[in-house]
Amino acid sequence: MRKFKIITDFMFAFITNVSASSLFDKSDVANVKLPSSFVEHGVRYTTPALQGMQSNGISFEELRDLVEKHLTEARDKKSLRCGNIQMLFSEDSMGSIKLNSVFRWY
Amino acid sequence: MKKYLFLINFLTLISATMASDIASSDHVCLLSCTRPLVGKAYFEHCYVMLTKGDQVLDSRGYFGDEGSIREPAPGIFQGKCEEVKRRVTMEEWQKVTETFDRQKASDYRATSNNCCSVAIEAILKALGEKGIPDNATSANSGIGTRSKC
Repeated sequence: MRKFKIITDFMFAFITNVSASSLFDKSDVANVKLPSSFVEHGVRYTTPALQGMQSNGISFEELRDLVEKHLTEARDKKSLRCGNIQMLFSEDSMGSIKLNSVFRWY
Repeated sequence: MKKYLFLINFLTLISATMASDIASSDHVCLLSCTRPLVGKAYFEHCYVMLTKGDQVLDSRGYFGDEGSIREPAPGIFQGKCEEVKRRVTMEEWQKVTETFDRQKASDYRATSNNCCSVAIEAILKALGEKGIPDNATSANSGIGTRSKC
């Protein structure tokens, strides 16, 4: 019985405790369970931005590459457009930058 | 003959310009929408959408247990929408989203700080008093939303 519990606990932890990066490595982003907002390399990826990323079929790797490549511009303008992908940012008083919105222009 | 060709070219140019105007008539719009709250049909849920033609580009709603999120199923024909502004700029939409994104789940109050009051506040900050949508102020019989000035 105890062994069974250990196994089920392990399975539960394995299923639920999935890191954001491993989730977004998958190409099928539309079906990936989203985490709530998180910080990566000093940028906070908010829930609405992650939802926008997912509903527009953008992978996290693609998004992160775009953000990190244009971070200076993002801080200056708070709005980035790369191809048809629009990203909106905000910066708090401590200088932390947040990605608030991601969507595609059609 | 030369005049005739010139006229043809001129007319072609005019019609091409008109066609391009029609094609680009899908302005970026800010909509204020309400729909019945799932599971509680007698309550209305308010949310805002940024649209271009039939496409929903972005959206925001405020949910008590999650904070600010994109409206889960933001079909443009879902719920009843009121056009708040046509030709919305990214700066204006950014102001709308900033107001939503500042909301914490723990700050949710059904009768004071709810989805409709936040929608009104967001539009007020982005567009001023003239933008305040009637459907958000009158939702839920005005409970939890302030009166339109």
